[in-house]
Amino acid sequence: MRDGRGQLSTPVAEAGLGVILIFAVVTTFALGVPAPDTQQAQLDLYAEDTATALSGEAPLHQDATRLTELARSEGAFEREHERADRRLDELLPDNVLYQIETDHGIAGMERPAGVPYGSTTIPTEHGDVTIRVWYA
Amino acid sequence: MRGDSSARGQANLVALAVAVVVLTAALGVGLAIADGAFGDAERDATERATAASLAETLVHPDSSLSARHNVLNASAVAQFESWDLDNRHTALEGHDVTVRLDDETLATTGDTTAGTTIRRIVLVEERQSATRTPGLSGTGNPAVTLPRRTDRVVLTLDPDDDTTVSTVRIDERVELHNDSGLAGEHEIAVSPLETATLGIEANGELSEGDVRIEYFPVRTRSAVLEVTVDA
Amino acid sequence: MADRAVSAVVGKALEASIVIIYIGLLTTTLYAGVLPEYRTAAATEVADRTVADVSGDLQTAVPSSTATNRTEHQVDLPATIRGETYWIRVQNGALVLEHPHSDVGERAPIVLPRSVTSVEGEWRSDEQTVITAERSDDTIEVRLETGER
Repeated sequence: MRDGRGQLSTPVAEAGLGVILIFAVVTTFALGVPAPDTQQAQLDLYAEDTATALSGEAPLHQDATRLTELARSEGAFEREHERADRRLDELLPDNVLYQIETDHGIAGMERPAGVPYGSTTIPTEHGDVTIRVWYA
Repeated sequence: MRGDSSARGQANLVALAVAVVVLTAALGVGLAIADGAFGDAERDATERATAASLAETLVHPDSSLSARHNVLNASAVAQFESWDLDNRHTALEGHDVTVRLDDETLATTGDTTAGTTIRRIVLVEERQSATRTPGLSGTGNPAVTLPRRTDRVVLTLDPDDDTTVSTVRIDERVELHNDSGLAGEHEIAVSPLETATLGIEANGELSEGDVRIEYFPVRTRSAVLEVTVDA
Repeated sequence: MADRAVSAVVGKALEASIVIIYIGLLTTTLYAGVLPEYRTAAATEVADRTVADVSGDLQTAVPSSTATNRTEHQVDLPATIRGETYWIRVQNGALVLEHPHSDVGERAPIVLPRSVTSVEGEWRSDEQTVITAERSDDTIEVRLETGER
């Protein structure tokens, strides 16, 4: 066979491949060290803390807590969700976005897919309330 | 042709030598980066766990700082000092810990700039005391609605000799009852979720000063408790 | 004709042997020199993570409501680190991971609510590990125990 074109002979090609392979592995070292898991743990704590705060607050009417009101009925959700939204805005740091989900609707921001988020679900008499938080 | 192939053979050998050198160099760089990556990742996980534990302990209802879970008592917070960290949590000796509330450093035992921080959202409660001496007049069973929410009420009854207070109701529920008359100081727990209405039943005239109601409204603000640990 | 340099066949054989020697040299150097260090570095990371996880498990094990008297939490530990079994103990109010290799080991202080009066016990990594919390009156005792399989 004629490999007269000659500059690129087999060992060089192999070496080139070898170098690429090595750098591929090395790149995983350099980039793959994950951000410390503090982020996930912190987000979960934010969600739990805001849920605790909401469950200690009185809503506009009724002898119940803001949290249970959100899950109680659609009417109650309509009445309370704006205040709950504003309350979470007050409680959470500015760079944290949030969402409250119950069977009767979702209050807060839209959660982008693929972003790590913290969540907590509180069961109440009339349904679950889930609070999710993520970094902006 | 043969000459050509041996010339190529020699060139191949040189190419091989170059390839070996290049590969070794690449490997060397790779090892250096790996070393760096390992050096970076240090004891972050235990630092974070310690910060999280301390933060939870501080907001736990058992903590001396808190009134109930996630609610801190303003006066306890004001009294919290670095000394308290050392004393109450001896396990943290040798670790640098800083506790801050909303940008104000409450306590610190060392330099924690390189540490891990955990934040908790809390409410800070300041309990005040207020007294109401309702202006009662004449007969009838007076009802007094408190203007603020409170978790307890201290009721002082001092009726005239010819009047006996038989029942005290809070929000329609009977809390105190004594047919031969109630007098003196009574502490009653009350739902903190709504303002309470006191109903007093007496057979006789009540005048101002016979009933004194002390209640404890809270001023609440939200805050962020930061715990930083540098192991 | 063929007296300059080497012939093609010998050339190829030389190349092959050079490559083989190179690979052999590389493997020996890596395994003897660099690899053990990397294994140890990875082991310390795993140890760090393990102690942090157990510390978090201790927190969740503490019962928050006064209604419960005794809780049992099962904890998953990696059975070996760097190929050997290790111990997890409580010493002087700190959680300690003891490993036969001198460079692998970790401690973390135990910080729990005031109602927890004692934390005791030890685990060997390959046992069925359980955290028990017992409440009596106002005090809670936490213990590292081994459960049944």
